[in-house]
Amino acid sequence: MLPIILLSVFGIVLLFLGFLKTRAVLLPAALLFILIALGAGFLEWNKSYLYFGDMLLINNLAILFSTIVLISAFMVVALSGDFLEDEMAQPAEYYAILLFSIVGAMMMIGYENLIMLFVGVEILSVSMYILTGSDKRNLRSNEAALKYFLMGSFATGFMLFGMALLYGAVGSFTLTDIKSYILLSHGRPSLLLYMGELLVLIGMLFKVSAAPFHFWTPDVYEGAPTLFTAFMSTVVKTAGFAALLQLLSVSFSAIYGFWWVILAAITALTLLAGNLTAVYQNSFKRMMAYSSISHAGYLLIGLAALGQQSRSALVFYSLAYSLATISAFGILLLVAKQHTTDGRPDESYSAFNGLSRNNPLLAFVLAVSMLSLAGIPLTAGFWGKFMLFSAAVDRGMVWILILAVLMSAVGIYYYFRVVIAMYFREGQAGRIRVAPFYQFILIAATALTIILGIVPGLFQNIM
Amino acid sequence: MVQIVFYLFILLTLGSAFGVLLTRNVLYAAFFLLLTLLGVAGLFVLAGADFLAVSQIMIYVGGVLVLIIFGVMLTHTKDAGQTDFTRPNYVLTRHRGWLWALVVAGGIFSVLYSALVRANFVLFGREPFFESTVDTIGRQLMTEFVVPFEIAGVLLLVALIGASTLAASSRPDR
Amino acid sequence: MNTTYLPSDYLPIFIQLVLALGFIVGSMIVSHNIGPKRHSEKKDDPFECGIPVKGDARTPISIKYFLIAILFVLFDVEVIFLYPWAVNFKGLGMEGFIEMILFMGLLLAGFYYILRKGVLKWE
Repeated sequence: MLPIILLSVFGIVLLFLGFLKTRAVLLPAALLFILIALGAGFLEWNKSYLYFGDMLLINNLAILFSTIVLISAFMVVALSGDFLEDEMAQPAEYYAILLFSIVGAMMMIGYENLIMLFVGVEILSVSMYILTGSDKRNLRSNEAALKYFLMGSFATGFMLFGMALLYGAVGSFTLTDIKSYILLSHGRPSLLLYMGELLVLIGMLFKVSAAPFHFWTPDVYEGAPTLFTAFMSTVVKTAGFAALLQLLSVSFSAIYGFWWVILAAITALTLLAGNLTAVYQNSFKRMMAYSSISHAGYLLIGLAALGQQSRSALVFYSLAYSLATISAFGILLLVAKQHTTDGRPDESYSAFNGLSRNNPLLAFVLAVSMLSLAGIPLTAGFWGKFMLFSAAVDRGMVWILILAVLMSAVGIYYYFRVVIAMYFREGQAGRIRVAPFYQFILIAATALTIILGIVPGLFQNIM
Repeated sequence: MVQIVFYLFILLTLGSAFGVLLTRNVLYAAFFLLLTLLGVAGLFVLAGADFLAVSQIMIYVGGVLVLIIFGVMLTHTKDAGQTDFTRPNYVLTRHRGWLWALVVAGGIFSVLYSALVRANFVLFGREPFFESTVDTIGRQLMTEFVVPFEIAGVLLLVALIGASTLAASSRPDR
Repeated sequence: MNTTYLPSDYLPIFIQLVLALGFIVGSMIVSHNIGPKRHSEKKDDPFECGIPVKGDARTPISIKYFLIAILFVLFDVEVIFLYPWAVNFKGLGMEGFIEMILFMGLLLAGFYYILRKGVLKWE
């Protein structure tokens, strides 16, 4: 609870720091605020609290998910030095909105009442619409913001309608009330409940870009400024899956037989759509958008095979995915600035040609992150996939497992295109200057990816 | 009597909703939307949600609609000719058929309809009572739902910042 | 305070609405149909004398109007929350007052931000 209050206040403080003459104070202030929130979150470790009349549930799972969100946000902010130099950018506003959006994400993670979920989703989505369109000179960015806004509000409408139906069936918005309603109905809950659950699921699956609702993702991810794409693909996804996990495991575990088939079908569709389309992309950024869809598919396996293992598997996978994604986008940001086509950064694969020659460190960071996303052993991504797959085995979902393994093999193909471009292609990439702090963040993310890949038990002991 | 007024409002809502769909002029569509929203407000009153009706009129009719009309005026261009956007607002563009739209919309409608008809609402079967809801809403908002209420303030603040960053000219004139 | 009501209590409002709309629509139709109409090039001009008319009246307006409308909607939503609070003002006591101050404070911070940013400046 404390981090939510703190971040709301800090957001306003940052907004007003923007009126100072110098912009230099903004970045450290934002980083400091996120660290304070991170520390405040751990004050509640190992205590399980329900706050404010059953509105918010803080337990270890919620704290772990919010930690991932905060770490992702910290890294994104740390990589955002460019804004301070750009005359047109409004860094104070961006940072303030980022902090507010974390408030929304944390509400989505720890909600106990559907109202909280709705307000959280709205805060996060509205912030993302704004940040997507923040590059006002770029027509692509404007288009992406508009698309995202229209589609997103449509999905929110579905979700709200679903919540209304759930209320109609249960007479309460609280997750545990929904659960006890289902248990008391002797296996024959009202039809409204099923409809409501489906509509809420549709709304949430849209936010995490699962397959039939994924069509907005490539355009929005490509149009948004790269840094905010990194934020979107990590924070929104982590918070969205935490919210789905909460909803399905607390409220609807009693009617697992109803929704697991639907979720499994969506998982299969997401895996197919994300991976197969990613193969045909020429732009690295667009490939990352499809890759984020495919990772939504892997994460959905954990939900469809809901069980003892899936909680820790989802947390671990979210962490591994976030670390790898942010470092990949961090490198893209640096590389794309070197080559411009028509005044815009070049985000195609060819921009990475021969990167390893003069920038071995950057190439290594990107290679590790690609390996982790592809799920190669000795990286965190491998263990994430392993844990999710073994959750599926526990439930006996063999066909989904086979599909997921096949699709991982497809994934290796498109992730390795970048690695090949960096190490085996000729290119005229000069030495890229990297600020020391920027470099530190990239190295830290890579180190964490490798450490988690070698000793995943380190993390499981925390759980 | 109440039944007749109810059906009148339904007629108003549905009729002007169709007007929004079928009219050729964007501005007319906005005015038809006004009628639709008024009709919905009337339905809210008849459903015993008086506060909701008042907020509907204040926010949607008084605010959002003005916003829409400003938006129309903002984007209006002279002699745009017969483009896709000046035609009547058929549900989909010419690139796609009607079939999919009808299948999806009809499917959702039929499922929802059957669900709502057969559903047993918690409040179902109680005598309809018309009590002013402002009082209850106020008490609930300030006690049970105080956290979402305060955080809705954050949401409004985000929207405010977003509107001023996106819409205002960002010339660095400090 | 009388808190129960019947839908028929809204009848006066409804009648007034119908009368107001009916008067406007009726008088417009009547005046269009009764009055004599003579069309000519000069008569159809918006101004019969002075500088010849140029261009279209419906030019795109400044974005500033739009921004003000957005801000209006936001504060409108805020005001809506005030009504149910005001009705219960006495019952909620100090606690409710502080809660409302907090909520208003968030938006007032936004308002101050807008003023400082010069969004409302009109040159």
